[in-house]
Amino acid sequence: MVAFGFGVYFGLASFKSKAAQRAGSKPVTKARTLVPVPGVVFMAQGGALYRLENGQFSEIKPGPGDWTQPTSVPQGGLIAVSRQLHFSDLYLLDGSGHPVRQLTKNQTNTVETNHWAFYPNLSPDGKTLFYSYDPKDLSNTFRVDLAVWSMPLQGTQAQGRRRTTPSPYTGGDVQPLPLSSGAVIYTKYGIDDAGHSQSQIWLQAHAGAIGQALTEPADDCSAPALSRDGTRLAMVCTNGRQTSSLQVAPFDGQRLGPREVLVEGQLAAMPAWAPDGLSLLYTAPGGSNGRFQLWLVQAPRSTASPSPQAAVSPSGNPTPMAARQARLVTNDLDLDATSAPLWMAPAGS
Amino acid sequence: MAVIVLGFLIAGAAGGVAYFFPVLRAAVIQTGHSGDLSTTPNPSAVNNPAGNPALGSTGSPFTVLLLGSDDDEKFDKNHVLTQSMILVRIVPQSNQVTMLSIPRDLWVPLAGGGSGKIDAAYSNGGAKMAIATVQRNFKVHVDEYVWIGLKGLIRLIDRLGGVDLITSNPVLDDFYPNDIDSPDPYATQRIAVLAGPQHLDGTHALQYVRSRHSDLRGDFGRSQRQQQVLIALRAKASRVSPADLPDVAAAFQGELQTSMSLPRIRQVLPLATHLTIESVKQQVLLPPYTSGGKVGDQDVILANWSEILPLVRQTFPAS
Repeated sequence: MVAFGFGVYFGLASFKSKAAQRAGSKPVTKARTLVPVPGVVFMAQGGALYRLENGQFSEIKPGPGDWTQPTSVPQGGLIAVSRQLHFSDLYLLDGSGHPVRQLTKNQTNTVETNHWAFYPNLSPDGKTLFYSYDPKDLSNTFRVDLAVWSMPLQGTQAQGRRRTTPSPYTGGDVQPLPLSSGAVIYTKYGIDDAGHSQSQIWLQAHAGAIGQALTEPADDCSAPALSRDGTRLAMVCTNGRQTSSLQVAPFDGQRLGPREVLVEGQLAAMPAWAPDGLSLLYTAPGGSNGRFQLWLVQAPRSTASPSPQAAVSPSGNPTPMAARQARLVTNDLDLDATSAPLWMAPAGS
Repeated sequence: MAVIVLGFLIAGAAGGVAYFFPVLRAAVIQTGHSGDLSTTPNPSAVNNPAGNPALGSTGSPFTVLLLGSDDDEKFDKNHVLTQSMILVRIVPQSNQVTMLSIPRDLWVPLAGGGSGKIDAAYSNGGAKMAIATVQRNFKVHVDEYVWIGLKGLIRLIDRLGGVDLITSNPVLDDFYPNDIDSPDPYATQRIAVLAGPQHLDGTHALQYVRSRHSDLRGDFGRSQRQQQVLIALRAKASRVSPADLPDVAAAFQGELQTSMSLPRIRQVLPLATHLTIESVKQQVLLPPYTSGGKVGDQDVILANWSEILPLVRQTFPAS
């Protein structure tokens, strides 16, 4: 009878759902991919970077702090963010993930005078580093907005220049994507008349130029990613909802064409193009633990051209592409969804 | 034979009570009345053998006042302000939920006498006073309340495995309170919750809903973020089974108080499964419903009741 009582107790416990259990992802290095991914992919999880090649994960933990948002360096190596409690800095890493140089120094002794640096991205020639940085507003100490900044990769942070002027008290301008023309695409946050926060993809033709919107505010698009040939822009749009769609639009260097929906109904985040431009990786919840995993989806070939009349990408009802089946790449990771995967061709290719 | 059967029944009941003991204990501590854990089938399930998702069809609509407080060391535990007040109307028959955020700086006549910011009502007289103040000013009837402290929210979210949501914008704050498990409750820290789809643990979800310094909309922006997290929690709650309740209840450690009975909670849990985001209506009292003003040397929010009351009346029945 006593055993029966224990049986009832443990029987009830067996009805516990996974939702209420503390999630415990197994080490990334033990993980396996469900579908092969050619080339090399870097991603972030739990404060470390991971390199995925030939189905094997290896950890890169260059030093103290939480490492995230890796980006490639044309000359070889990576640039990544090291985030600590009150500040974050950008580091140049070698091909093995060892720190070569600290690119920014944002730590100070007073809490509120520290700075953030996020979303590093190099210009295609590898000479200029773009990133998001929070300049201080001495007249409004409560204001903290990120702006797009640039600095010479071989220079110092003192040579950094602000490229964009964020709308005040909105969160600012993030995710810079420099083009070979000297233009920069980025995500700009704003607040509409009804008090809703919205994000738009913007383009600034050159330093000092007034930016222009490439998407409508209500589309709530962010996370721009340009294909290697520069003709297609991937992005994530939410339309103010709590689900996102992964969309792709043709791009001619100045304007976007009609957007095409590749994936809908997920919390899709941070797309990254395959080196050959045939597919995209992104992160979204899934797998056995329901956490953010890598997903793979085939990319559309560029067919439509940007409209010469429209500065802003036609919005409203982007073409749905229900036939494109996204495939789960990893099953039991817990990826940092604010860090885009970095997808590179294999060495020597 | 009968003795043996009785013995098994007692042993089984003891096992069940032992399993649900944390819930019973939490129910007594947090609501002042014991919980009903009877396994009587939900009448709607009996009447609906086909498993129609119109669950809770026999449940009446009800209104809950959600209260969230900064209850760190800066404050007397018995006199904390409410940083967050959200009126929630739940209509089980149609699986509809309406959330109306009440600005914490709203200047109103307080139920206990005099006028003040509405966040002081809870500090002056607990949930009873907060409910009475809301009922008097908004002309609504409040059926239930839930109060949660800072650590309670962190524990709830962590116990549910975190929340997945799309944060609406980068939330950056150079003067965010560093008052949880901190030796100096007046200390500050810098936070940066980046924008976009992501998974947040309890600590970072709290940062997202609590920060207000660098938001053009001030407390209104924070209210919108709070509603986003509540909706994200709905998705998590839809995966919680009654067998999870002991773990969840044990997590609060006095950081949650509610008038809701366990049968009511059981009624709400399945609703989360059938609730779509589209069926959640969100309301924030931005202008023209309110305007900024001064009372003495205090910055306050002034109510435009001729606009607010018709809005409230659309959803919330009169008291």
